[in-house]
Amino acid sequence: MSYFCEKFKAIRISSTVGMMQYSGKWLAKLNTLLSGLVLLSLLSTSQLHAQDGEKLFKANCSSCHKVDQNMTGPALKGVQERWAGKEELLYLWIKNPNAAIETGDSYVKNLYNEWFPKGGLMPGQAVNDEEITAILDYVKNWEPPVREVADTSTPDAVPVERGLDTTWLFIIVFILLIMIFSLLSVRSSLNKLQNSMRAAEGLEIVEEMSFAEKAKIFLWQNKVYVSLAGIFVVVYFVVSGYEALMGIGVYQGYTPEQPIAFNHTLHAGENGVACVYCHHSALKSKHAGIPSANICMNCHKGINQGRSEAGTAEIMKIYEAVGWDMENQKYTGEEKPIQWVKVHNLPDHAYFNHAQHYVVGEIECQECHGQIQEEYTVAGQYAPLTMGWCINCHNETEVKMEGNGYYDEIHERLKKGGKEELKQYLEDGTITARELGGWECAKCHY
Amino acid sequence: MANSKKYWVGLEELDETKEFQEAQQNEFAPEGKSVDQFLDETDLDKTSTNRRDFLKFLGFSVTAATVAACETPVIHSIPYVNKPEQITPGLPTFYASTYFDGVDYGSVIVRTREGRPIFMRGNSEHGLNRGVNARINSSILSLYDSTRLQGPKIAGEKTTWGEIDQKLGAEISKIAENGGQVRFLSGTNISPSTAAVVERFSTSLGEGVFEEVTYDPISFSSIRKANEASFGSAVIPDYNFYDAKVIASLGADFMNSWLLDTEYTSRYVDRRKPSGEWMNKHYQVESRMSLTGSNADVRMPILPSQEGAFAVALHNEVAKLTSGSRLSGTSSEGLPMEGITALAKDLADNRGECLVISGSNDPDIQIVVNSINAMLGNYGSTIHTNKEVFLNQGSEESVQQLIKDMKAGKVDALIIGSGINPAYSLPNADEFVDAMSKVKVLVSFSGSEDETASRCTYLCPDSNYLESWNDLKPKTGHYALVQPTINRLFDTRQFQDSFLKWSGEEMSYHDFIRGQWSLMHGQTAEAPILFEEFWYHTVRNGTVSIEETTVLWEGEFSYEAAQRAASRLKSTSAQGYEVELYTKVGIGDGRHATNPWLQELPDPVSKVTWDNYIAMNPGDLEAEGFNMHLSQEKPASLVTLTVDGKELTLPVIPQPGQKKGSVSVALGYGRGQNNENIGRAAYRTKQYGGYETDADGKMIPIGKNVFPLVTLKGGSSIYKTFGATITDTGETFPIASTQIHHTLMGRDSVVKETTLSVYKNSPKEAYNPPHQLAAHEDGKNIKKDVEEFSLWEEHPVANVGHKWGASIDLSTCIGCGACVTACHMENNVPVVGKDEIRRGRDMHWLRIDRYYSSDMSLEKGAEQGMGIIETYGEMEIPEYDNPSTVHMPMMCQHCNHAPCETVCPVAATTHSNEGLNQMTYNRCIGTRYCANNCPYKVRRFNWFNYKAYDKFAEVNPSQDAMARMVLNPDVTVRSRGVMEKCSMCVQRIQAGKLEAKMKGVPLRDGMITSACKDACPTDGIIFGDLNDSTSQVSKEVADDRTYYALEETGVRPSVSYQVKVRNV
Repeated sequence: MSYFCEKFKAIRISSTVGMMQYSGKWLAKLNTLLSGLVLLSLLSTSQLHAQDGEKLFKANCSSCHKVDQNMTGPALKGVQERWAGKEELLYLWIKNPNAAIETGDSYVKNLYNEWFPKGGLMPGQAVNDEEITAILDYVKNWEPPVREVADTSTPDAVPVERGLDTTWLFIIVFILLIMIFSLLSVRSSLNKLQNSMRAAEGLEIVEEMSFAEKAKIFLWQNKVYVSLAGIFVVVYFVVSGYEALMGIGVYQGYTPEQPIAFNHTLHAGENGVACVYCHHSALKSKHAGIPSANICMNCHKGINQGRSEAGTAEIMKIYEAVGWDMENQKYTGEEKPIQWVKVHNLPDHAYFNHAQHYVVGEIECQECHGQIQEEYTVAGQYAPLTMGWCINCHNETEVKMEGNGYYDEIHERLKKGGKEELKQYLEDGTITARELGGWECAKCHY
Repeated sequence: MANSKKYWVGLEELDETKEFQEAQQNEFAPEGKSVDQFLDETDLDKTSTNRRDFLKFLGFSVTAATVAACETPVIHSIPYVNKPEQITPGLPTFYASTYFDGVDYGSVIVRTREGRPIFMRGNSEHGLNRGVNARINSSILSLYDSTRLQGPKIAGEKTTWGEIDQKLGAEISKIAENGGQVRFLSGTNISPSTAAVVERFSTSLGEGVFEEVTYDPISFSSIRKANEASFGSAVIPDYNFYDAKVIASLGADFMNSWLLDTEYTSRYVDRRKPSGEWMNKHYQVESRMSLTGSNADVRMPILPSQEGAFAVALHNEVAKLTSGSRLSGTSSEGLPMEGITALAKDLADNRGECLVISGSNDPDIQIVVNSINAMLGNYGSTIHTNKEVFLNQGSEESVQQLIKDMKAGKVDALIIGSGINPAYSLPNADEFVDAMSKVKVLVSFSGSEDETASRCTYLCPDSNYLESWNDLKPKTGHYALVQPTINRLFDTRQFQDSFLKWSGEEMSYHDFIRGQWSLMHGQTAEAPILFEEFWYHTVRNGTVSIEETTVLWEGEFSYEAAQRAASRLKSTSAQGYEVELYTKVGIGDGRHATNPWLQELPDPVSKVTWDNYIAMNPGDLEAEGFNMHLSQEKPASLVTLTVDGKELTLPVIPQPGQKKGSVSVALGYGRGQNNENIGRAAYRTKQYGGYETDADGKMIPIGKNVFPLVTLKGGSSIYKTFGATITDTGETFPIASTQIHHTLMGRDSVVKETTLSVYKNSPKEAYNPPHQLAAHEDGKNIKKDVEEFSLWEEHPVANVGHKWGASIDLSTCIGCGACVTACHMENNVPVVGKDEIRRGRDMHWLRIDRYYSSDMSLEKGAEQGMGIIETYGEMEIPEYDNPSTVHMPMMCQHCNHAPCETVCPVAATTHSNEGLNQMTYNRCIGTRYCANNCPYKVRRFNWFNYKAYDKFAEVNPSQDAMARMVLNPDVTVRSRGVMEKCSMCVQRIQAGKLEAKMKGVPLRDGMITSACKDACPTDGIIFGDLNDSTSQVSKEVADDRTYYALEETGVRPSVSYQVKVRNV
């Protein structure tokens, strides 16, 4: 079974690559999940015909229909049975729903009455009869995909943290300790034996020196090495103590548990969703913002299943938050805000603006947040967010001035009226944030 | 997704936990002790903690704190579930709206962040006004008043709106059926839609049941009455200050409280620029030193009782010059006849281009003033006869009639509107309260359980105007909209919605307004064709002007009426002091008494905060033997003012310019006599926090209510009273004043002033000579410009990048204080309360210095052979009777050679490459060297943790969970032990630059404004980039009137001032 799963993953990924090649739209990328599932079903069915049907289904129907579930439109499973005897009408309905309604057929009327309030009237599809047949065949032969069962504990494959394997170390130390103790006990037994022999012979018993006395003598004899070692120990503690103190308030690596185990690797990495699609306020505002749940619904209105049971459960949490009734495909109006845990916490007296850095400075998100699309599942703090870290970047980063009317004006003023000491900034051909005042207090503290 | 936003203070409120409910009842956290209190205790040595224990505790707590600090605090963040399209977290959203509370009117732009209004400025683009006054811009804090009524109540018990509608509906329909009487007592209503709603309610009750009574706490009914007598029409015409070359105001405080003051101030200062086409000449005749009077070119102090005689004398002088008919009946004894003749000549020389107004509520005086204006031909030019002002519709007669009816049991139900508080502000409030008990059904729309509402059965709290829809029509042809800027904080309901509901309508008031406006839209030709477009255009702009004129009166002016009025104007002669009652710039008629920003706003003239007092001429004060020099350690004398058998005990302060023989007392104080839950800032606080209480344990209101001193003369409220005696109680009372020095003592480098003729006819050197310093060169003593001396190297900010600066025109600044409260709002400036202000620890980043002229000068002293110390001693004393006054806004001057920067041991205050003097709180260790070294004394030290220390729990809004919502999230809330000062709104500068960078366009002038500039109703403050040669501020700085305060110190400020020019 696990072999099968591996194989399936490989197929799915290759299909992902294929999809990405012919479609640049991220929306299409999100469909990879579905495509993977569908591919699996193809293993059991044969015809090339149905494969066309799949393509056609995805291109024309999948944004509103699913095979086994109601979405904006009804589930298509069993459509032929439902329209039995009215095949022609069905074809007409797909191509031109208005015309189908005008025939006055009662089934069409009921269908319209039931579904129009939920999602509006289906637009006519630009497909010919042959293609419709292919789609219907595909629907007929569709089978639910086999679920991944590999990992149900976490919603997504969290890479296992590989710490140093210390088991062997412990075993070696243990054996060594046993050897040392045995040797010591052998030695003391020998001493006792010797003393008892001397006692038997009436000789003076040699008193064993205490450990402390021996240690003193040893230390005195090796005083140069001992003092060197002592200095080393003191320096070590001072340095590590200093570092520990400097680390107070620095929460690098802080990865709290979140109410929804949102997977950045899956969304931003595999599916290639741009960071600012969800964190769109980074384009305008100081906050990148935690996306509001309605943004999730842009995609998850359609994608209601995760890759695993647990993944689906996480999606259900979004539905609960926005009050989405999946059965009836409508919002109930009962909203429960999601209480996320804030990861990046700047002190109140430090001002940071995402738009300034992302839009004007053209800094990639990854510079401060790490390769979140590859490494992080749940968001964590990548950068130390210390002031030293901030100003270091301000010192090195060149200001992106080209084509920006604001800087053109500033540049003109500098060339025209600037004093010599400012003109030296122009010498090396680059102007860093620091040279424009990026190290000044009131740029971030007010 | 359904949009059903709800705001909670916290999760505790959501869950309604028991602890929360208890805590909510108990408004203030359990009392703790401050370090000061602890050390003050005398039995400190009796404590069981010995030194060793103390060290143990210290060691333990340090370790515990260190360990605790290592843990990551968990901070939750809750995004929108369904984010509204127009809101981006971190970015402000702006709404145009309008403030009208029955008294003050102003168009405003409200800035909101994440749905919370946090700043307000005047809507100068579309409104009548430019800026708005301090009362209006501070109203944003009143929105977050946690003592507002949080939901409807019946007989003191919380209830639901459904229950109110049902029970009250049943009561009222029963009254209507039985032919009873329902009265609606409301403030002035200028909303056409509200009038229609009230009409609808009236109709629903059937004929003869309902009647509306309009009540203004401060009445201007005399203007309407006078126009009725003079022209046969009880209206208020629209005054045109813009075209008036000479303005004679007989006690009208038109910069503060007179009719459409926000508009008049803006139009008045349009003509105060000496470089303009012409400059108006402003005469003020008054007994107290008002804000308007302090800005007048010529001020004539008279006794309150002389007002009528003055008007008649002026009338007769004008009549002489315009061949009008003279009035008789009063004597001109004791009047400043010379001044009157000069004024009359000025008026007659500018016939049709001058304006005479009166602030008196005596119709007879107003009739005489009408006659003067008629003789001068001002009707039709400076007084529009085709435009009406709809403000101040109140009528004292009908209110008194209502009280009589109530007493007689003729009124079955009384509905009291929001924004009025008759049980507090009626001269005969006691009578009204008695009469209330005779009314079966008492309904109140008041937003808080004030003096009146607490006596009503049905409390139907109206929403704050920032949560409401409304339309307003302040004058003919001008319409404005009020739109909500926040979802309702509490379970309140607009009273119009209540009326609609009670009339059986299902429509919301918003839809109702739209319906009304669609009718109006049909009648206007200029408006966009589609109603939707017209509506959204108006919502966006806040106002719309529609061509419409009315004919105010058909009749000719009646001189007989003036003759009759003059004969009634007998000058009152009574022994003792004459008392004038007025409303303050800060708290108005008392409705703002609970607003801590306004309580802390120094009175523009007296500079006293947190109190009301008797203002007396210093000469009289000296003669009475009261305390003259008030300061931190020198309290004011507490005196008893007795008039008409009423006694008031108040402190007395010297007020230069107050007419000898008269005193003035502000209305609007003494709110909450019975400890009504009106607001945290309304009561006197103790030195270490907590409220002062009297013998019965009741909180003591700030100041005394002087409304009972208002008299009714022939149906008009008269705000003056005669024959008062003032006796010393022998006690003293501390006064918190932000300025205890009154004159400049000859420091001509602080304020420069000149007259219009000198300005027009002389070179710059005559009125703005460059400051020169003595130097020794080539064996000679010479004078060199200040520029040539410098201790420091130049900051390389000139001509490169930006250099932020401001120019303040002392000619247009009227000292109103709107900038002070705007600065509070923008920069989270803490409110510190009376005790701290008294100690000189006020935190205002921007203050307005007020200086009086002195009789003495160095030259005069030399002439009289006085010693130099004696001369300076005399110069410290302001002119007692009629000083000229100057207002000077003072904030951090952002010196380019800043003395504060060089003395900071930790480089917490540094210079930016944009010319800003930066203050970095997180570096500051609080040595206060910088404040010591600042020549302008604009640096403020955080002596306490104002946001947590319980001394400030009652006064500082940031200690209230609800009021904290007003804090600007872009500005740090400073903590104890750091310096702070004006940052030139660096957060706005940074945001403005970012906006330009993101758009990729050069920064244009006007994209960035400081909060004080935003607030200024007179364009007295201009802010901008000095390196941008096209900016307005560069042009202002290049003006001949520009000078720098204390230029001789060589600190090279970025803030410049312009010489004050008086038109004398």
